[in-house]
Amino acid sequence: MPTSLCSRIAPLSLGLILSLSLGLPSHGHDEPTPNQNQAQEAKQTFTVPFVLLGSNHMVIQTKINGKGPYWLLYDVGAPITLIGSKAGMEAGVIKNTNRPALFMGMRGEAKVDRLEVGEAKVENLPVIVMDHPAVKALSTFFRPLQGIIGYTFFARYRSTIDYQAKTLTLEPIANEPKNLASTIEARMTLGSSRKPLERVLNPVGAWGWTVAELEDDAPVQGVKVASVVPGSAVAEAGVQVGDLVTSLDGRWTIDVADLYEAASRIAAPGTPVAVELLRDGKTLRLTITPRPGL
Amino acid sequence: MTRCLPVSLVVLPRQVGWLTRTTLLATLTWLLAFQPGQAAPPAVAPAQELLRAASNNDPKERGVGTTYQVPYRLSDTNHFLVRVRINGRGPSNFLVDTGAPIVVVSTETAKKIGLEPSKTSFWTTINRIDFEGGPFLENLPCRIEDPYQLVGMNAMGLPGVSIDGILGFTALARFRITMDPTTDRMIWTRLDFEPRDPFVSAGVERPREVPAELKVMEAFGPMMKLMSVFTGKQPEEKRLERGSLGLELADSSSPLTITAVWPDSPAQAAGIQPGDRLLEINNQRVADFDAARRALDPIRPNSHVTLKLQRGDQTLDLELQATRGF
Repeated sequence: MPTSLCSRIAPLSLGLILSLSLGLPSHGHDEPTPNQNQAQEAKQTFTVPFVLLGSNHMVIQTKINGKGPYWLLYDVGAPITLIGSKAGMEAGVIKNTNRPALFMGMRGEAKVDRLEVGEAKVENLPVIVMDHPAVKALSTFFRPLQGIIGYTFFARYRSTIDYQAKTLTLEPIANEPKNLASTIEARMTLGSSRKPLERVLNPVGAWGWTVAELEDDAPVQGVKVASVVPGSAVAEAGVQVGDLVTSLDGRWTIDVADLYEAASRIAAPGTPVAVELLRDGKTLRLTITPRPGL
Repeated sequence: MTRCLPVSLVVLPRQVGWLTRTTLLATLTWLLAFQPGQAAPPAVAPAQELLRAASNNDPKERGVGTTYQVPYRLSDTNHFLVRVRINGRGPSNFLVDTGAPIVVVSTETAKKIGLEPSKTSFWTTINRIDFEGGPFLENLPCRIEDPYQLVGMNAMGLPGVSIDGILGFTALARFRITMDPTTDRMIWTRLDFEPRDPFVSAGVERPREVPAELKVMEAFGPMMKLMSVFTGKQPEEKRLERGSLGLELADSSSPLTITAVWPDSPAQAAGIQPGDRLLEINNQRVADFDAARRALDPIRPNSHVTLKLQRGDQTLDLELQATRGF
């Protein structure tokens, strides 16, 4: 792999400067205010139709830097956004420099000044310019496609995909997509030390129990209630020692870490939390309301 | 250079969420068979017409109209992962991927959960798949194989968690799906919509012509697997329990007022009493519950914690040893 590729990957860690503000007044980075007009604007959504290819891929019409229309695959499994080299050249995403196209028409990192999907616009969107073989193949058999919309675009929206109605609805949110390259680099660097990443799961509130893993060969999955503090929120809810917690707040509790994780994602103490238990082989649905406490 | 090279390899092959040789060619074979001017050859059969026939026709029993909150995690590679149980076994981490036309189960996962690849068909039927949060599908065709993207990423441990399969169109299209990266759950509503399964030509198991560039991409999987031998596979993230003190606090009081002390707890051992005011945890002032909870962030069972309390006009400095539970 030529060294020049390295210099193209590196800028990715600098990029991802978010600018939703143009065309989307009063949301983006702004804190929501109680002002009614603004609240209404913040709820603004854009609905665009999409086309489903015979291969079951969804594609949407876009404008790149005001040029187009260009048809892009909408791919929530893609971590980045990708533009074909021809469209990239036409829309001025890349200049016709002396740089030779590498493997698969790879032109490297670039920025799209403005990507429009219907009325939704993202400015300064980092993209990779390359001719992806799968995009090429789909273009040959269905319709000309010029790239892929990935996480760096859709992470700026609350997006709803309705395959039946064939619509994509986008509602702008204040979110800065994390930088893929830097997290991967961090992971790579981490590899040398092989020290696992650690995260302490901090439950919200005082519940009043200790829990334990099931034996490895248990026929069911869940977390065993090992002890219950008399008079606590858990006791008040009717949980008993020996019960098996199978889900908490709609999250599976396969192991103790899952239970801690679910309890750490509760909004605040005082929130009623649905819990599913197995007692004597029967499913039980109870509500625990954790109290403030440590 | 050594650090840069893998990054470029990772970024390159994963631009398309998923599109493997087999499905691409299966689809293309189907399309070629239906070129205008040609009679549809009888050799083309739907993906196991039996699947549709076997599925439940009652919309209510399929959960049509039900809305579910589906927890997900965002991997370090910006992939949305949901947990699934296949035929009651699992859980496995599946990638939500509109770039994939079908559902794929990795061979290792299929083996682990006892899902036998069909010997006679391109597709293997999943009798029932349950998604965390409640949605489910029955009689879902899937493909058991290892797409190069997953082989590569998993070998390097890049996502920070193993990815065991892919949820593509045939699963996703049955739901209206709302994704918001600022919340930790997706919203799935079951639609009264049963999309056509992908078609494959009967008897076509192996593609005839593979574009050279796809072949090269396929090589990334094994290549990265090999590379991981040298760089070392990244360990998965470790999730640790926070330690407990065994005290309850008043809802809104400033300073925080202790309302209850659990029996046999570290708080009781240290002599804390209801009515005591909590001022500091590990020398950090704690004005409200959120601050107190944050101050306990690094505290694990058996960790030592210092508290500053106020009792009447007396200030007490106590040391506690946190315990398990919460």
